[in-house]
Amino acid sequence: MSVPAQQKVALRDPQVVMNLKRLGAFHQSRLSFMRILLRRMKREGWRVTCAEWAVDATGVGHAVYSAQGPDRTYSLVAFAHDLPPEARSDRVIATAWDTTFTLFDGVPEAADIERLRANVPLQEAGRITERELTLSRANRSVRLWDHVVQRLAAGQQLDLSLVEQVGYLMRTTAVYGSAKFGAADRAQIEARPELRAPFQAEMLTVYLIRAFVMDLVEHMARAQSADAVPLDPDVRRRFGIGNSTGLGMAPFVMNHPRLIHNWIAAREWALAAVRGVRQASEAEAASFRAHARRAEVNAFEWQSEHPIQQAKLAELRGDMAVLLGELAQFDFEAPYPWDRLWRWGEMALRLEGQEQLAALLLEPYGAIVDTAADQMAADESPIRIDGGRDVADLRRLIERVHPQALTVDWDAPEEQARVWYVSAEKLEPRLGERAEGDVEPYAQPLCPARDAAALYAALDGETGPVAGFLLRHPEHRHTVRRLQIAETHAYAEVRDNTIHADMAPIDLLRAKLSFFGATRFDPRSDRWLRITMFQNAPFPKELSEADPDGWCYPVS
Amino acid sequence: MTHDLSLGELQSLALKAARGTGRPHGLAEEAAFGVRWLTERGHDGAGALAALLSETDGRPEGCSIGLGTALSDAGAVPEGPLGPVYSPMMLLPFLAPLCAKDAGLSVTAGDARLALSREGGIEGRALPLGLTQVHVEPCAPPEAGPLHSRARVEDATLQVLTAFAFRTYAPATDESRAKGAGAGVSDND
Repeated sequence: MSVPAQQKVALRDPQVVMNLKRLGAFHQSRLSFMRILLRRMKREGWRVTCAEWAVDATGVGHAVYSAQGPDRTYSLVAFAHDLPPEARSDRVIATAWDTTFTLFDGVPEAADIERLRANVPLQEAGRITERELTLSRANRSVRLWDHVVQRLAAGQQLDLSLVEQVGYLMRTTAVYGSAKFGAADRAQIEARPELRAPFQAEMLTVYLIRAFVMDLVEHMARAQSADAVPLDPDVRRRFGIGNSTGLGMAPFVMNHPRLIHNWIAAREWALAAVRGVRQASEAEAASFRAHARRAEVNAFEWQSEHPIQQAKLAELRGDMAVLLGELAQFDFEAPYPWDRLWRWGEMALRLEGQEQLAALLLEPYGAIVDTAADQMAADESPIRIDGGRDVADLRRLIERVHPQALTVDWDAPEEQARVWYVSAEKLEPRLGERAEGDVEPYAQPLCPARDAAALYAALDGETGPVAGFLLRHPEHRHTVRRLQIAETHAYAEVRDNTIHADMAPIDLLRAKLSFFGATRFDPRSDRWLRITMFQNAPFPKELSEADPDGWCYPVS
Repeated sequence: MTHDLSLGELQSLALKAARGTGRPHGLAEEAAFGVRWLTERGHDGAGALAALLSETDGRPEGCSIGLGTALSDAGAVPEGPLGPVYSPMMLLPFLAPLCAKDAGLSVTAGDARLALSREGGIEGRALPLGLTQVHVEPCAPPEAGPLHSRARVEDATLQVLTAFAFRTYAPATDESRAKGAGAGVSDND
């Protein structure tokens, strides 16, 4: 990654960053994937059109939304269904949905639509091809959908408190990308500049789904009454797309060490770059203050019924008050204001506040930090193990990467209480209790800390090259590879115990979802949750006149 | 009948299938990578793995992935014959990086011989699937062609790999269904 001249500040220690409590306090930032997408679409003047609308008065049919960039066009093919209420479930084990989607590479012809109609509504049970980049589905928010249709049909606007409470008309329950169910491999598309940053096809899918859903609800109101009115544009923007996410996303963080490193290293680099700014202009200081006030509003508007999240929200709200208090008398004119503020924050704020501050510090400095987005993709083809290294190197590597794991008593029941496994039922990732017995044989290698400690113990008394050790102990091969990755990718590994009795999978989910750009993280248990995507974002036709970043915090 | 699979799908299936035969995760990852590598170069990687797994289910003798990774770790090709191993095609992804710069390796198994380059060029007949000794010697490097972006997998192969992969999934129980993924609160609102 290129380092600008003013970079004077060291990146944060991975031992500080890569623990579950801090990962579980991450916030969206300028380097979140939704924001990267909208900045590009605005910069390049993308045109989004509804190329086909074939939805009937009962809300059944299909539509095509095409997004045309400078080099290529991508089309959301949306199918709307008549779903009986009793079939509506967000679980991955569901088999029917209100709407189903795919992102087509190009503009589909009639034969493509017919092929997709036979497969996309089936989701995991159907097949897509290398012409498709994603596969997704969404269900209505029952609370809000009927209210909106009825009000609009009656020529009235909405009960805003209900809109605020829910924040979306539909929530996606899966957005499958790269290579899934026959879709194009990432290798096929990663050279395209517009899809180079992570999850851009998935984010574009959701952005277009949002446009479709809002058009659909207005269509349904018109079908009920000739007097129906469209949504007020300001109210319309308050709707994002919800997303229900379960455990399935958590293993991703451990399964993609190089990718995760690149995400976190990009953000840490950006934070260090801003801390290295010698002098803040008045405009930059004002922008920071304004964003901090808006983040405080966000902290108060953000609701959750889950006790874990309520405690985090209390922490965030308290920290935001402390931060705004500090800003009221902070000297922005003395040299290195952001580094001083950051170091103050490390002492005065808790995890939620610190991580919110890290995200806020990037806001005035798009010109410096936005290019880090180009470094967030990763080549994930397996690295060749360097078998010529001495096992003593490996031992030292474990001491450096996993010092904490070497102090844990791994025989204590709570330290290995959990088992990550995959269920035969729709191949759903699950988390079980080791003590209950029957899932241990199916355990996935999703605890790098425990595995590193086990390798360290196995290395006791060993000498000679790694190759010889692996010949006798192939069971440690996966861990040796991880460690050789971690040697050069500082943020690749979660340092905490990911199978501890007290581990909350939602911490892993929050880390990943913050990089998506999700807001209103709302856990429903310790292992599944809802979020909102693109809430308050400009719609495609508004993007040319709008700030592609300004929507991410509420207006104060 | 053949199936059109994305390379990522095939790689993920191969990983699980190798796990399903009792191979450690780290070796299964190598197997999956090897299948993808062969497929990208127009060879039937899935068929080679299915044959190998069927012959070595639960026992490590004659495993071309075990041999290939050991050679890769050691960073050199020893003198003299290798193996015998099942599906010697699965050696190729591990032998290719061991080719000297600007040189190739000639790989002979049974009555089939092919040439391999460091860049992954393969020229010649596919090697047999059965247990065979393998001879390797230097040769001129073949050109590497364009990579294939999809896998065509025979139905019988897909069934074998899927059956092995299925062994890695825990049977669903009512309890795991209720607790494992974290449901329990109504999600229809």
